[in-house]
Amino acid sequence: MFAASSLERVLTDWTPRLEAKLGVQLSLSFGSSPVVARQVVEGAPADVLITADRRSMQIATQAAAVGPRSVVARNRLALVVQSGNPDRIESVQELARRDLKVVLCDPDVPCGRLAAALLAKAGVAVNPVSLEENVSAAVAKVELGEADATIAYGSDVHTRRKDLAAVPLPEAEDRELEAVYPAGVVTRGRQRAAAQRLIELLVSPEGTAVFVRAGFLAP
Amino acid sequence: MKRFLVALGLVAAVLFLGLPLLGLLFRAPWSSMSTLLGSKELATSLRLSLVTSLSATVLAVVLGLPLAWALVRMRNGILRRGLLGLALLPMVLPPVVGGVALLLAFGRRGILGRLLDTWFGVSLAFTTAGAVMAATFVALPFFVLAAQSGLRAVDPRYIEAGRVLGVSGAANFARVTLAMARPALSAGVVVAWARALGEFGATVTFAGSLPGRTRTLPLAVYLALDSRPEAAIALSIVLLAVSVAVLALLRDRWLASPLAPQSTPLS
Repeated sequence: MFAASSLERVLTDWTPRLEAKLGVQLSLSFGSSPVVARQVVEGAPADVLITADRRSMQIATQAAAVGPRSVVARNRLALVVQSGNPDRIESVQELARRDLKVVLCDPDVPCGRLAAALLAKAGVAVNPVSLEENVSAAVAKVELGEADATIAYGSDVHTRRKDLAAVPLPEAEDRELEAVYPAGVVTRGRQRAAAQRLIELLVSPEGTAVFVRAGFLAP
Repeated sequence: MKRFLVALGLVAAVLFLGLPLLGLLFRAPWSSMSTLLGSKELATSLRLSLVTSLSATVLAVVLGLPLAWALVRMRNGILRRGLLGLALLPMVLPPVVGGVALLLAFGRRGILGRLLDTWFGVSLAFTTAGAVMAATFVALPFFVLAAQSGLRAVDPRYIEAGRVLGVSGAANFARVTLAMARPALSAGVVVAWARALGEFGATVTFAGSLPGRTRTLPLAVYLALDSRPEAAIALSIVLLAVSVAVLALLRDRWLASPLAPQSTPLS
């Protein structure tokens, strides 16, 4: 299974139960969405591809490397700050404050594209100190205390992150600004039947419950 | 049989090193190359890469020369071995770990960084200075190693001769010791610079990635690979060309062929 890096935690935790249900052994490989999609096109030994945006999935579908897709989950943007919110950041507007160090994802990757759209919609001009290549790197900068805030996904702050807190972000409640996770069976995969069953499990009500518990939204 | 094995190994090595280069050249978007080469992205990251890698090289020499000299002069006890280990550590440390370590020392919550922040309001992370520090951190061992072996090879009799001739300590060090070790020092400068130019992991971790400030050419390549692989290949080719050009230039200008046997300076 080749998947977007924002799925790493939920899928890794889930793997033993998925393996038990499907009776197969799962190997996982993560990377930024365009990268995993391109790996599948270039012939990587994948059976399932899950990206964090439709645009990356199109790289694979246009090359006929992936069959029909189903959306397995969604993810909403979150304003992530250090735990206890020491800088008292109450809204996305405050990201324009000069005393704050804000990191964002680069507009070349899904989280950065969505964050840029959200900031444009909110009419906020941010001077980021860094534009990270993936969402995990952006969150890590806040977690290490080097940056004060970033815009990441709801699932990033949801689990096990004691050094982080989320500030309510009503602007993110917009279908247009949500990350969408399409999954598809790789056409040249060797386990297409098992791959299909795996995707059915991910989109089942039971699968959705797992995603929701990990901070994602139902598809 | 022996000759056959050598030939086989040679062919394998040449293919192993040469094929990736060919891959870059074959997949290069030559038709759109001029647009990509004229892009602001390239100019910005290239300039930054040159500034940071050259600054890092200067720093590596300034910090590395006393270190190498101390390693040469010290008795081979636990102290010297500890110092040597410390000097070479960044070589074996994964650069990303180096970046985290730099954060824990010089970052806003780091051992020293915390004091810098509260006393002077200075923060090194996310600055060009931070990118230079990251590059220096990884490049320093390469210079120290080369300098140490060069300085060690200087025959003490020449230094003694200088002293007998009445040359002062500092001048003696500069005109005899450094002059004799010059080929090794130059080679150290070149490998340190090359390492600094290619630096990625420590930089992206410690300094982040902002165009014009910390996004050096390797960082730009990595990011472009996400959604614009053609641009990434073009940037890589530029990085390759710059390294080859600078190495060739250095070799002709002021490298007394570091790979050739050392000349006798008193002749």
